[in-house]
Amino acid sequence: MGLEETILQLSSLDECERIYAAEDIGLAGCREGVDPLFERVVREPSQAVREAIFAALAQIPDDAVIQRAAQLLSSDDPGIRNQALELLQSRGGAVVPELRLLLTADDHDLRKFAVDVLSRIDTPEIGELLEIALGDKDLNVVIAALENVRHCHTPALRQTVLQHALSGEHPMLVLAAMEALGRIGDAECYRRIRERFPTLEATPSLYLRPALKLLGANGKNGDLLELRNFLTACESSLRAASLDALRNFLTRAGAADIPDVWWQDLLARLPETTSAAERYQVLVLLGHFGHCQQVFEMLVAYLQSPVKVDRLGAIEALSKNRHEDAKSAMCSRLQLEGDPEVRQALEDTLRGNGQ
Amino acid sequence: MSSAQLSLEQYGRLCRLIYDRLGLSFDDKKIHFLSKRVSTRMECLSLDEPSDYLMRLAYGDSSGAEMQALANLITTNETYMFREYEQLEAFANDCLPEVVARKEAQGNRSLRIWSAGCSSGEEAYTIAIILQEVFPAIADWDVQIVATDVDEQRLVMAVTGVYGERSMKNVPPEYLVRHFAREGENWRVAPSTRSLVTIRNLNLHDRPQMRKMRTFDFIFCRNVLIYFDDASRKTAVDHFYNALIPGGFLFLGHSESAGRISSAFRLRRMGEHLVYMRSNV
Repeated sequence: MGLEETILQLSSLDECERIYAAEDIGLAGCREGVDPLFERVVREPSQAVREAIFAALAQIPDDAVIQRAAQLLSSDDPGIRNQALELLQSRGGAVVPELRLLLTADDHDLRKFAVDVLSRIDTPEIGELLEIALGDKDLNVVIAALENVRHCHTPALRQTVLQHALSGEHPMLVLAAMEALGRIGDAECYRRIRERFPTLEATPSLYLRPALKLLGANGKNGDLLELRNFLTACESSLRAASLDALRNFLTRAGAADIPDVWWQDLLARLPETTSAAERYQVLVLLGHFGHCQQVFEMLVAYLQSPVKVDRLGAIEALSKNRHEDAKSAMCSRLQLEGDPEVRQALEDTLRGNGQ
Repeated sequence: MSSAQLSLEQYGRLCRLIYDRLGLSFDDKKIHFLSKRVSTRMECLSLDEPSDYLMRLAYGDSSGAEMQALANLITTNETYMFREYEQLEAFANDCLPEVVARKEAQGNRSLRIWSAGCSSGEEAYTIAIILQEVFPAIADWDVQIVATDVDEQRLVMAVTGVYGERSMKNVPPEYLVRHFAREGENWRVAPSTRSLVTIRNLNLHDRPQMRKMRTFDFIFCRNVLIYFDDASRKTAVDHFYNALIPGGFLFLGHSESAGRISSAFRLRRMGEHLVYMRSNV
């Protein structure tokens, strides 16, 4: 069947034939198929056919697809808009010229969609495009842009984000800026944020997660006491973020200068930690305190735990632990262990592949 | 091996990404398992930081190739009789009676079921056993279970119909007696069960062949699509849509989701399970 005949099949009364026609046009991959597919998709009643049409368009490597898909972002049909958005995202850097136009559109929804397209593409121009969006007069466009800041794409970007965090008035704007700083913030950003929110206690609860992230990534030894106090008293929903902050701190700075009271806190709280992932994380963190006999004994006890993820956490911790008896403890456990994944973890660690 | 010690936030993000892209759910007991698989991928990609790997997975994987590589590490090719038993209960107790009643009312006593990506045949024979057990009128119906796979070696095993203990571990004891014969340490599928199943070579990527698969009441494609890239997955689901009659059901793996591939199917709750139905229009 020729392309013209296939295009006619897009109007078939049979849903199945329309799906196959769309697939075949996509496979042909030529420019001539683009307009008929776009014309069909806006009046197509079947969701299955619409999806097949968008899948076909994704296979046609012509810039006309980008231009027509950008027009569909103005559609009143949210399904069409979302699929047009996905189609644009699948084009990677080729959509940049179209995004530049969209980011200057009068319609703030279109500007927001342009930022949404950015969320799944990786292109060298992303920093420059985000800068444009971060200067937008519409709050939602700026928040969407902040949510998409993943690297410090341009030198000015970090400063722009910091300014939103320091002087933003809308809480959701400040939150988005704080979270972006959690990803790209440096020691200077941390210092400036601490000027606005001098302690964790003084930080509004909405911003605590990114504040903890900044502390974990940039905090000094002097901040540890505050983190410890916070971890001891915080509500359970913030415990994971607090543990992550400690983990980042330990990974960065090591445990050598950390007072014993830290691991005592961690040890004391372990039995009451109900989340398996958090218990695992605490056990792994305790591996940093390998110099302490009491920690070592507790890790060996957890090797015998009936809970598999606890045994795995203990093995991971012991793999970091330089205690002279760590190896023999794991050898003994291996003799008794019946679970294949735990056996594998023990064998890997004993062979030295566990870290 | 580099050790990817994921933070709790990173672990949560990874789980969401895997669910969004592959439809597989991991609970918080799997933190060690996923961390180790991420370590393996980071080593292959020469990445030092889990955050870099997550960034790549989230934003630098437009073809889905990296998610595919991770999928190969976090899934197993294991197959056995009566796998995902609860889902089979939804088929037997809810979906099958609905389809049978509708077809009976139409005067149509044929039932076509497709086990797509059947591997060595355990799923197809499981369906054949269930049909005989819960559908007493089967003798008066024209029933065909088509089992397809691309792997010739697996198809030979399916045709032979002889299985070891590993494949048989979930077979209820009373079914063992009725549907299998002991053969040394193995079990052979009984001829009455074997006769319901037609085994064929079919590549789910083969468009012309896939288009010939039509008028099925049920399609089982469990734990297969997770090995496909995004575009192939969408195409396969389009084919399944066309291969089903209106009101027909698609069964994916327990933790897979068609919702992320297609919204053309109607999602229905059957007992404890969600199943996908081609709408009755």
